[in-house]
Amino acid sequence: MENWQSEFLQFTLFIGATVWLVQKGSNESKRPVDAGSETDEKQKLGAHTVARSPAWAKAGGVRTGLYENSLLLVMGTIFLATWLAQSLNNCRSFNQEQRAHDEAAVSWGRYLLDPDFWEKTLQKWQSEFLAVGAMVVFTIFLRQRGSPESKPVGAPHDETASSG
Amino acid sequence: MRTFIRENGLALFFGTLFLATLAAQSIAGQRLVTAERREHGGGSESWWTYVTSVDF
Repeated sequence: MENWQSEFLQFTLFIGATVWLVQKGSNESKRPVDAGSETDEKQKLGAHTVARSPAWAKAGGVRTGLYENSLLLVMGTIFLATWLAQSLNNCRSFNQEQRAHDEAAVSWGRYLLDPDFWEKTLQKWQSEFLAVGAMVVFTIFLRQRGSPESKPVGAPHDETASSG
Repeated sequence: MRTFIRENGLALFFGTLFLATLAAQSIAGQRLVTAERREHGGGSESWWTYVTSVDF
């Protein structure tokens, strides 16, 4: 569960951050001029939907509002659910050790304040953020021919969002 | 400066998150090790000793 929650946190934050934040030269970013939620025309919404657009993209109202944020909502929900599961598992394991050493078990709420929970959680989070940050920066200067994660080999370093 | 932040916001965001969580992890870990040492009758461990140890 520790691994799952950190992976889904990584994707949740990356998906959310890349709406508004950009990295010039990176293939993991939009172009600076495209920062933000973009126009309906670009997103193929409203009058700009096409015949094969998903039903909820055409529906309008709450359904379209939910659908246009569905990726973030699902990833974020999975993160919260797996983090909760991790906390319950870790608490149970912590209390087993407490009893083995003739010490009193602690409540789940008390365990959430314990350094044991946060050390396990933060250990995973820092490695995920390092990996994403590294990828954002590496794609500015490094290339991998044929990979959609890379700019074309001959693309300038300051060219943003141009897949190979 | 504003242009630099705007053009490099994504890397700065994840770089800051990484450093903040690494620092927080080091503090939580040091408190955990200190609590374990006290349970076995030992003294506390300093933050610097902890981050330069194999435990971190």
